[in-house]
Amino acid sequence: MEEMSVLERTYRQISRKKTIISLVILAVAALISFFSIFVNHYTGLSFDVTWNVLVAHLSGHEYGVYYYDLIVWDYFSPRAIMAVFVGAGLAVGGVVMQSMLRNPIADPYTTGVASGASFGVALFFMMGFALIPTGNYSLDITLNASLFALIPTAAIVLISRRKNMTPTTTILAGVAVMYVFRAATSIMTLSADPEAVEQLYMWNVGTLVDARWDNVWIVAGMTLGCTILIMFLGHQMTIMTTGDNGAKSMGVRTKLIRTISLIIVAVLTATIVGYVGTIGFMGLIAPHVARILVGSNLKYLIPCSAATGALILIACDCVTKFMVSSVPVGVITSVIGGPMFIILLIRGAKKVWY
Amino acid sequence: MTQIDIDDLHFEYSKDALILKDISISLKGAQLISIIGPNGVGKSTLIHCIDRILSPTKGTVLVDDQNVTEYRPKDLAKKIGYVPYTSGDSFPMTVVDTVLMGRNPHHKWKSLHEDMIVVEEAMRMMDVSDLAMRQFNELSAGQHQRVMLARGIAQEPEILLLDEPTANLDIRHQMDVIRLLKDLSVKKDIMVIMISHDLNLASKYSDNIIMMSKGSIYAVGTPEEVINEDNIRHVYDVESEIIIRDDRPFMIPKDPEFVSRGENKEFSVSIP
Repeated sequence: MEEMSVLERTYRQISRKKTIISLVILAVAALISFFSIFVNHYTGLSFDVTWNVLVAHLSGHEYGVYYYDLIVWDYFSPRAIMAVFVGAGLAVGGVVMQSMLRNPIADPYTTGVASGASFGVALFFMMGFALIPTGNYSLDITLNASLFALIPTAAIVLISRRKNMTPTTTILAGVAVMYVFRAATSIMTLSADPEAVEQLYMWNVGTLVDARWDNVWIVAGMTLGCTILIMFLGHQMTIMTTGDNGAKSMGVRTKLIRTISLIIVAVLTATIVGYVGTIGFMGLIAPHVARILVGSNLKYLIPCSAATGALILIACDCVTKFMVSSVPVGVITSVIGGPMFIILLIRGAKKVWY
Repeated sequence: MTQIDIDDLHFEYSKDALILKDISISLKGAQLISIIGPNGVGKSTLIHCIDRILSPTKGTVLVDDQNVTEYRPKDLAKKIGYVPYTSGDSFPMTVVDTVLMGRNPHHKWKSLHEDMIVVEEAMRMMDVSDLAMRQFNELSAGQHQRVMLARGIAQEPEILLLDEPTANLDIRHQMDVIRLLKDLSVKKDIMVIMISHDLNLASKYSDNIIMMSKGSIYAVGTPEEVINEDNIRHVYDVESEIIIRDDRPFMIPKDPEFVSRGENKEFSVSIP
C-alpha cells in the first residue's frame, strides 16, 4: 500500500462513511417496504396470514383465499416495490435538475416537466388521444406522459443554452411553461365528462394503488437504468454545479452533459408520472435531506438521494395505509414533507445552498 | 515553449455591443503577464475567448499553433487553466472536493492517490490546507479566492488565466499570491496571465503588461514601456505621477477633484 497522507486518509474515511449512510438508508427503506405489505386495515388479514400468503407465492403456490391472494400478492407487494422505485426515481430527477440548473428549487415539478407529462395524460383521459397508440391502456398513458414531458425539457435545455441565462431565469421559464400546460389542461377539463375529470384528479395528486406486477417492473427498470446512467455523468455534473465557465475550463462538455442528463431524467420522471401520477415534493425534499447527510458531491448525493427518496415515499405510503379512507400518497408527502422540509431548511440551510 | 497567437479577434454579444475588436497579439514562453484597463473594456472577455469559454465572432486564437476550437475539451484543459473572479452561488462542497475538480482533465479511473498528492501541494501553496474539510461556501471571499487558485494550480496547465486573483485578498495574501504566480511562471514554466486593477502590483511583478482600452489593446510591453503618465491619462482618464521604485515604474494618482478645482477655491455644489 502506498503511503497516504493524513488528509487522504480522512478523505477516504469520510467517503466510506457517506457510502455507508446511503446503504443504511437503503436497507431501512427496503425493510419498511417489506413490512408495508403487512400494514392494512382489513379484518382477517393478520400478520400471520399475510406472511403465509407471501411465503406461498414466493415458493410458487397460491394461498387459496382469493381476496387475500389478491390484496397481499397482487396489490400490496407490487405497491411496496413501486413506492421504493418511484421515490428513488423522483429524487434522482430532483438532484439532477438542481445540479444542472444550479438551482436548489429545481425539481420535476418546478421545471414544468411534470406538467408536460400531466398534459399528455389529460389528453388521453379527456380526448382519448394517444400519440403512439399501442392498445395497452397504461402504456398509452406512459408514452403520452413521456413524450409531452420532453417539450418542457427541450424548452429548459434551449433556454439554459442561451448566453447570460442565470439559474433563476431558467426556473422562471420552467414555471411559465408549467402555467401554459396547466391552462391547456384546464381548458380540456371544462368540456370533459366528469368521470374523466375525476380520473385525472386522482392521477394529479399521485397514488400508488394502481401498482401491479406488470407495471412495477417497467418503473423499477427505468429507475435503475437511468440512475446508473446518471451516475456515470456524476463526476462531470459535480464540476458543473460550480458554474459553467469553470467547468468548461476544466474540460467538461457542459452543453452535452446538461442535455443528456436532463433528457434522461425527463424520460425517467415521465415514466414514473405516467404510472403513479404527480407525487409532489419528492424531488425537492429527498435531495435536500441527502445533501445535509452527505454533501453535494454527486458521487454520493445521487445514491443517497435515491435511498432517501425511497425511504420517504415508502414511509408515507405506510401512513396512507393506516388511514381508513384511501388518501392518495401524494397528499401525505406534501402534508408531512412540507413542514419537515421547512424545519430542515432552518436547521441546515448552509448545507443546502450558498 | 508555450505560445498563444491571437489574430484579428472580434467579439460581440449582439450587433450593437462590440466588446472586443482588432485584437492581435503573440505571447510566448513562461512569464507573468498582466492585463490592465478600466472596467468594462473586455479584459475578462479576452480571457474567456482564449479559454474557449466564449467563441469569438471573428478571428482565431492559436495555442501552440493549434486553434483552440480544434482541441478536445480535456486536452485544452491540460493546456489552459482558468481561475474565475468568483465562483458565485453554489451547492456546498468541501474545499478538498473543490480543489480535486481541478484534476478533471487528468482524471483516470482510481487515480485518487496521485491526484491527492497534487491537490495537497496546491492547497499548501495557497495556504488553505487547514480548510481542507470545511465547506467551500462557509469561507470568506479571500479564502474562496485562494481555494479557486489552488484548483487552478492543481489543474497543472501550461497557461494559467486569472481574473483578478488578488481582488478579495488582504495585503499579506496579495503579496503571497503574486509572488507565487511569479514563481509558477519561473519554476514550473507556466505562462501566467492575470487581470489586475492594481497597477503597481502588476508593474512590480509582471514581465509584460497588456493595457486595454475600449475593446482593443492600447499598449503592450514591459512595465516601463506601458506604465507612463500619457497612457494612464488616455486609458483611465487619471492624472498621475510615475516614479521609479525597485527599477519598476510606480504610479501615484493625483486627485482629479484637486487638479480641476485648483488651490484655495471655495467648495461649491452646483445643482442643475
